[in-house]
Amino acid sequence: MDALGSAIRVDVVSNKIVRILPRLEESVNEEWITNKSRYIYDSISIQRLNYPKLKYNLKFFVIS
Amino acid sequence: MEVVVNQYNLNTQINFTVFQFCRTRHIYLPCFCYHEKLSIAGNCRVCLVQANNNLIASCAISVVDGMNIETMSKRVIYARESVIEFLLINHPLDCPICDQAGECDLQDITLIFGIDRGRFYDLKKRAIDNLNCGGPLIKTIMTRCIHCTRCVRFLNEVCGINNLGVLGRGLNMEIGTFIKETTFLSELSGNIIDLCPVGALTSMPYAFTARA
Repeated sequence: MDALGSAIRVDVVSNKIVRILPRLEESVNEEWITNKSRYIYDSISIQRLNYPKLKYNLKFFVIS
Repeated sequence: MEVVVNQYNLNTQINFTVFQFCRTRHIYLPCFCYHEKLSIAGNCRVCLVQANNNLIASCAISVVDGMNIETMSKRVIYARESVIEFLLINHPLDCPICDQAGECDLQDITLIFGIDRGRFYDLKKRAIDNLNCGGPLIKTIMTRCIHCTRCVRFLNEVCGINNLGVLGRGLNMEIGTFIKETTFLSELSGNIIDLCPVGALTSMPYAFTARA
């Protein structure tokens, strides 16, 4: 889930992603993944961005 | 090199360690501290084999010409059982509430290679304070640690930070941060969760969501 293209395994429990683990891929990520890739999964269920937002004067505005 | 493994004559051209050689021949040996991508430590002693009638830690000793290796002799099996028994003296009985249960190397290896009874009823288990590391990402229950030092080696060699280390020796040995509250300033630090063969380092956001 990061820009490296790491091989990952996504674990799902009842329609919810609960964990992301690395898979062995010698040419890309060996067997490690970054923390960003490992912990990004709450952005899908909890902290999801539904609208694009524009930061202006340190405040966010919903834009279409 | 001519090597005898369990009475079979085998050949190798590469400078393997005994452990790696057995792996390539699909002879399964238990291991906690050995990891392909990390340096060799040889401190869990659970990969013992018998080579020319001596017990050796197979992950740390390379194959020599004319070696006579026994991986399942009675003496090796007994020695392995003893090593695992020593590891289990101070390992808490947390399995029902542990996040690692079911994918735990210690559980698997104890099931396959371990002794089937406990003898240390009088000893009190040693407890260790948890570390505060990695902020909200890594949850530590250091009493479960079996001192394989995979996490220490990973942080030193792959991440290039030396925040974790081994403190004390013998019964007082523990994995610890040198400074009380340390944040691992590495974007790969989450990998020590996967590396840990027991449930000492687990993922904090994952805790109690799917298992246990």
